[in-house]
Amino acid sequence: MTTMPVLSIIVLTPALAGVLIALAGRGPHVPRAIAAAAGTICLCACAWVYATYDRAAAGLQFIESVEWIPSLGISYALGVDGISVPMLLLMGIVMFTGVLASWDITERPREFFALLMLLVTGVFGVFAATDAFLLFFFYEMAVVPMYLLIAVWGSTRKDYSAMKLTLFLFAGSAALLIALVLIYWQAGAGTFDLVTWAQTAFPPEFQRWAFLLTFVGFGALVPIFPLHTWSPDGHVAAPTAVSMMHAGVLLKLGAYGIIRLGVAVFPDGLSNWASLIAVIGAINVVYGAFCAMNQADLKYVIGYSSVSHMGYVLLGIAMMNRFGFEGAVFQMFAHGIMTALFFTLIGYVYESTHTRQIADISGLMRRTPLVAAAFIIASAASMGLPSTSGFVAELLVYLGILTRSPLLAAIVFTGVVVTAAYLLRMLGSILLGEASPAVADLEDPRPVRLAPMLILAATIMVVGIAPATMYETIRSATGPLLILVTGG
Amino acid sequence: MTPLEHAWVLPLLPLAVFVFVLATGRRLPELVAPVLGIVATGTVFLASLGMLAATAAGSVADISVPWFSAGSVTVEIGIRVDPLAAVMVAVVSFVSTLVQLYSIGYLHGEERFRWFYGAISLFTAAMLGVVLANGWLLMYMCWELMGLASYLLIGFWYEKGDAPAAAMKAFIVTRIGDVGFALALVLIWLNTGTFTFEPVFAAVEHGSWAGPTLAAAALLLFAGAMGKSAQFPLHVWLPDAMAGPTPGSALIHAATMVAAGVYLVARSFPLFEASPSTLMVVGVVGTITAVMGALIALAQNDIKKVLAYSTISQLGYMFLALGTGNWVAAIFHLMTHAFFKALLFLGAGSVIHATKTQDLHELGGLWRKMPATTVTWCLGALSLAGIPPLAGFWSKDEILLSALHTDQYGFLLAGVVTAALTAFYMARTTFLAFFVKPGAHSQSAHAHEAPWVMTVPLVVLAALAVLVGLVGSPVTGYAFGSFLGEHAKAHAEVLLPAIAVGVALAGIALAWSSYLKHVPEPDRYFRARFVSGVLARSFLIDELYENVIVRPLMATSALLRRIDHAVIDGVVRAFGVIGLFVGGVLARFDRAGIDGAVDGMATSVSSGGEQVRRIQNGNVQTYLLLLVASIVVLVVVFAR
Repeated sequence: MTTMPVLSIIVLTPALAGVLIALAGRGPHVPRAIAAAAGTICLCACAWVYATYDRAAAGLQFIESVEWIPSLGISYALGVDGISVPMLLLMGIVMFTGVLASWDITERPREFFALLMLLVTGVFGVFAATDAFLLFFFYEMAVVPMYLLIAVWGSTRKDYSAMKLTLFLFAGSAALLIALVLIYWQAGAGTFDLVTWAQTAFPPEFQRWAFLLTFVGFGALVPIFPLHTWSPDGHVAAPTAVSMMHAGVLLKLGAYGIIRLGVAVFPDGLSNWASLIAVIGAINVVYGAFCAMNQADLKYVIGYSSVSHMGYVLLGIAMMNRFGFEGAVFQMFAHGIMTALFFTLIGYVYESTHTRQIADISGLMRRTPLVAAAFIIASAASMGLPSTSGFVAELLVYLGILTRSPLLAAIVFTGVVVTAAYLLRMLGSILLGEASPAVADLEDPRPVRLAPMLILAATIMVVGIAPATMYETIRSATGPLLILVTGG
Repeated sequence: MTPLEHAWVLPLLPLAVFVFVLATGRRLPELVAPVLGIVATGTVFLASLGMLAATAAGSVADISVPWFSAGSVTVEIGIRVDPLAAVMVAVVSFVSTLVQLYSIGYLHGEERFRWFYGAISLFTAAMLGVVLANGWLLMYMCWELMGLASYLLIGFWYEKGDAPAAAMKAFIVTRIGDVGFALALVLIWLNTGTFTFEPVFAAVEHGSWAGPTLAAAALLLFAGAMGKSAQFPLHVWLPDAMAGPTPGSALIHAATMVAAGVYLVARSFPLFEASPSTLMVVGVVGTITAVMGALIALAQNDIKKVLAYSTISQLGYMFLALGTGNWVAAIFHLMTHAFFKALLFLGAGSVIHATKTQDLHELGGLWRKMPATTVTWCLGALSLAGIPPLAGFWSKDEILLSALHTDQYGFLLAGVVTAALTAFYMARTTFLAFFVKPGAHSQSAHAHEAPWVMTVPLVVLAALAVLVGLVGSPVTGYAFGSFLGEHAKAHAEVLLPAIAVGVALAGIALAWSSYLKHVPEPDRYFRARFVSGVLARSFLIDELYENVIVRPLMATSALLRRIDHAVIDGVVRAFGVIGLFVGGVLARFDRAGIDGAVDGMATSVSSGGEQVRRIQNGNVQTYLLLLVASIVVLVVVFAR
């Protein structure tokens, strides 16, 4: 068992499934069946990694390494620590539920699922890679199918949004590529191994600018203010499963990259820029919440709420203390699940009503009590209400912020009230009242569409009520990271 | 394990009912929901009797389990059963049980009948969690859950015009206070490393935690209490919350949840005692709220609104008591108020059920038609007005005496004035609803007494509204105070109670002469501009908030959204336009270059230009290919 290359299984199964799907027939049945099978395999494998990861030992585990381009010191090297394990689990859940949420895709299902699987491989690869070049390779692999998935299967201004997203992400990639080459050259060890890089003492001045480069490069994906405008547009245009992965996981790639490449390799760089990151994080939280309050389209509300919620991740990182780091990673997981749930629900409603305008939808509580209940759970997590995963994440981040700066905490807390306001405005409008004409024929989903909602809602509650395992996993990695940063 | 340590099971009973009702939905036979709900809370009530007996005998349970832990840090949650918790469990489960019994009649035939029981059970579970928690963390968690249940119940008739808005308002306004609670949690943790009451109290007592952070934590906790207990200036949600079904209002927005703020301060009292200035803040806010609520209640014509403002006022009274440093008096009044205010709400529900109106001017003469409701209502009203020997008299007396003994004459005066106002508005409401001759618009003609499931709770609550005060009276040697662990104080005072009763009687007499003795023309007090323009409109505080807070916030939101679109995204689009332009120029240069001598440099520039142009044309696949290709080139170059 121990020699089984479980990470490779996770990373490569979707790619293999993508190839099989591409070879399959035109009908929707075979592609989605293959995708679902791959989803099941990946989810089980991710759950297995999560369950068996040795939290006491910490560090990188499930290591696999094969030389790829020896002359450059590039390896196909995989391994996971306490930060990547929750991310793998997140991606496993979002992948599985995303496939089910796309069950009724009728337009070119073969291409859709094939590209989706390619995207998934890219994301899994980023979380599992311990070689910077490999990580970058997978990162690009995740971004390319994104463009096609939005441009072909999207809605509302899909060409514009797909293009915008791609340009932003490639601008970020360009910064990253430069950073990678610079780091490789500066490290002088002839390797892209992230662990080696993390152990290399880069000169402070180099750390300072290299960190900024990686922060901006990955930050565009987080998205950091003011590089965020592609993100809500992208959410809105993307088909359901892609929105789920986009908001649920892709944004986390950015934050993950900042931690993996920025914080771990350039701890001094973080100390240099921490105040700036904190300010950007606070702007994300408050500004995103205010923007969300004034949106008419459900997806835009959640899109801007993502901008707001990812601000907590930035704040947590910028606090450079244990609660901040733990909260940041916890929030990455919590936010991933809650937005995936939101987009599943919105996607379901949109498919049958063909509208996402808040003004057109009302009375869901009456028409579709289960969908309404799931909306409430997702919103509760988004508001950080206790017994949801969002509460634990936000509590940790607040502990981190308040240790550092009460003033900042006060500013961020205005975001909390505004968050409650925009979510309740949305809920009050779409759930309550008499059923509007648009939802007259809407009914609670059949099992295959209901399953993703249940799985995601259950994850929110389980992690919120019993956060111990998740917390210990994260802590096993953020603890050493903090020592690196504070030098203590 | 002692029996008390099993008390953690109690909140799970109603929680199980909630889950079951939710899971079964319409498949559940209609009457099973109330039966399950009543059995669950009834069991809790019986258990609470055991808890009262056990804690009276001196045993206390306080157990914690780790919630999550890593390294040196363990976050614990747990329960504490002591006299205070036992009293609260008893009150909550008792009122909840009666309200559920009553609702069988009140909500009979309602489409979401089962759902009501689900929500009430969820609420009861959460509230039991609040009062059983042995630390602020679990308390806060249940506190928010309680808020959610409240949201669901206010929005119960969500198709009705004002219910969704009221539910949202309640949630957001209390959330503002809860931000304070959450910040207090963080402060407590950072200063003591635990959320559990006892170690924190020990730290405060030993002085290892003192100074401004302690005072700040106390005040932030109080902010949470202000939101939940509808204290000025966060009181605005409670009157609107009356859009929910009346029995729900009785339980949540009168008897129990809104009193949770009082419980929070009483439970956290060592934090407040350590910095007396915070107690002053509590007392002043309570005083303002008590007087303000009573004044507004004078001018309300909706029977539920009268009771809502009365609740706000009485909660202010409890905070006034806390401000004088007497948390026992506050809890005593919390208990008596829970019984008589639940009684009054259920009585109002009975009236609304019979007449389908809540407008006092559309009622009148109900005493002939609804004798049981009338008698029980009157007992509740007299208890609230503080007429001896009813329950309200004893608890109110205790608060006034406490203000007197601590020489806080401002609080004392406000307390007496509120007592007079309370007696007046309750008498006015009673006369208008039950005793005046029905007017032209009266809906009383076809009213009839409610079924037994509704009148039995009324009678039981009336008995308590009359008798329960005795536990805190000289008759029982102030048993309530000594049970909670405070030694009986000197009570040899006759003058003050006499004055309080005197002003209450005067208030009733004035109402009698204004509304009953003379046939009332449509409320002549309303001719006074102050009454109709200011009191009836609740001091225009809602309008003030609308103009000063809500609109500016919405405007900010609209503005930021526009900025996001026009400025920030504008820059992005400008880049696009510039790129297009540069691409165009380079493409032209390229064509010109083809005619001329083409050297290697020009080719590379022009292909770059072509590249940009292609992106802008939407041919991004080419770009992607090139990007991948360039990575490959890089690799090859390096690999050499």
